[in-house]
Amino acid sequence: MKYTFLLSAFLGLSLLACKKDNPIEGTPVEEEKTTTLIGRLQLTYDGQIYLNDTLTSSFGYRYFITNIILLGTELRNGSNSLSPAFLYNREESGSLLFTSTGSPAAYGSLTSNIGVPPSINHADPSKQPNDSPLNISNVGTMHWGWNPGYIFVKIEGKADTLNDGQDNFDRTFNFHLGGDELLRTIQFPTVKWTELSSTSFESQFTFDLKSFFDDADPIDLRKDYFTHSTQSQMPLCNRLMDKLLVAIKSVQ
Amino acid sequence: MLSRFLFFLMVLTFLFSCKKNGEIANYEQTPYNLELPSHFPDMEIPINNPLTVEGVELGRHLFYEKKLSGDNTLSCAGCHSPKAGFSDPRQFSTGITGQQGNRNSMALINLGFQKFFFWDGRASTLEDQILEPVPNPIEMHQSWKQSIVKLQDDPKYRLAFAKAFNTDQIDSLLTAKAIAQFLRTMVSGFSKYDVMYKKQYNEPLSPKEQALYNQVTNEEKAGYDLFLSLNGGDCFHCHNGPLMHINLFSNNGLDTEFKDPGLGGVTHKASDMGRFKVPTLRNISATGPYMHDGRFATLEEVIEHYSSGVQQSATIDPNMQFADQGGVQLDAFEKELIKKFLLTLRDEEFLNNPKFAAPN
Repeated sequence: MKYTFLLSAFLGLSLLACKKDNPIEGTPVEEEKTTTLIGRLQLTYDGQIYLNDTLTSSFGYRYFITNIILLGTELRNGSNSLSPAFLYNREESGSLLFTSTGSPAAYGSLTSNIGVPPSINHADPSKQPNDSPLNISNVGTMHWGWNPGYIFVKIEGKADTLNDGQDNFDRTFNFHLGGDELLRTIQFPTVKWTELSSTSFESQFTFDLKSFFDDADPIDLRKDYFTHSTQSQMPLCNRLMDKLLVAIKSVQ
Repeated sequence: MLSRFLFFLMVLTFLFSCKKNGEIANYEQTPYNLELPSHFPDMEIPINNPLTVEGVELGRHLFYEKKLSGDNTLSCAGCHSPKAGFSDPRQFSTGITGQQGNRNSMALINLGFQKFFFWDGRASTLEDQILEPVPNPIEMHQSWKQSIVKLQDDPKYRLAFAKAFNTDQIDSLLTAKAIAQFLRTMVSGFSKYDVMYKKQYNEPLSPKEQALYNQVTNEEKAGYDLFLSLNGGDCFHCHNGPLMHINLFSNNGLDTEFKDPGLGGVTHKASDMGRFKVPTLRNISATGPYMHDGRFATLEEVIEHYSSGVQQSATIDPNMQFADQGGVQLDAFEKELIKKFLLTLRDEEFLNNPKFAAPN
């Protein structure tokens, strides 16, 4: 009897020693679906998608774009915030402009800063949220320092200004635009959302290079090919920022 | 007798019924409290390799462990010397066979804030980077299998791995994890530059920081202004913020043609040819020679390069604004100011920190 008891106890303990918890059964909880909203910015030239081609300026010389970077903040519809900050970097992320969560019905129109408001522009970028493009770890080359703050826009490329029939592309152009004076607000009165899946929607925007470089008040890259937003460069910088507001549109 | 035997059997079964292979269930790891300077961003610690006191200490031992090399003469510290800001004062490091590499060893400073490793960025995690030098024939030249045998043979390491990872089965990944933990604690953030940086952002200085700030000279401040100036050194595009680098690659105009493709050798993209990881400038006075191939022995040579020695090429960084004129064209006084500023990035506390030194 005693041996039987001990044997039973030993068998029972060894069987139970590694008992895993049974899952608690109860009413299944339906997962709350989050809707992702994606914005994409496509470069175009006169309505045609720009595929890194060589373009011909209104002055006759040829040029191409190597990269465009835009830093935006306070993307919103009224008091509904869609994204506190976003960074578009064509070379690194293609057409991705922003990605956020929300209902497309709440964002039938959008307003955004191109640039960073003064209150943040001169604050310590290490203090920004870890996942923000404004954090010093994420901002890359888009931060000048405490005084000038962030670079709002970079437009870079090469132009062949020698006009000698050869592909020289002698002129590198760099427009680096930043500083409180250059902060702009852009508005998209109607934003169209296309359903990609039951949980994601996408909206398309375009940046038309012809409108920026070659339309009314064209930019002559032979003369105006460089800004670092110093005080003496402000007339050109303001002109470029104003042209940007006209060149970027939402696709209907 | 039988009852005693059964009881003994029962106890044994109970004790061992849930033991996994190699797992030692007796140790609890102590979270490592990594203190970061107040003006630094947060450090992303991988979820699968949290910092623990035991892991960091094991990693320190392994960093200085010569048994990881084929002839037991070379440790990580052999090419990343504490006396040289954890870089190599030689242009190229020499492996145990006497062969040299073709790139200067990078300084191991603030690695926990970086997103890719090696000059060409081929390792996307610190753990991956650590796995490479041990079997590399021109470096430590020993298979990980043999390295593990040596570690496993050592009771000191068997105990240390047990304490750090609750296992008596040492492997290359755990070894790399431990070293990575140690390297992540190597944070440099107390230099004259740091107090100047905090002052700029109106951040409060501790008495110790204020005392250091009081030592900053007018020339050093002027050098800092010039470093940041768009019309001066124009250096900040790639070397800015508290970390004094950006997590990007750049062709900084060293060559018109590339003997070393850099990032291009990894991605095979023409647009990446001649681009290399942007290094930190922290402790730059201790970490020469400079550039991916250690071609510049002195800071003067580096400054001269950016001033008048920039070479054009198809992939030159657009931030090298003045490449078409050879560089930013500083005069002698401006070059001296820039150099004085660069010297302010020296962090004596980091360079002499006993926590990073070889174990006794």
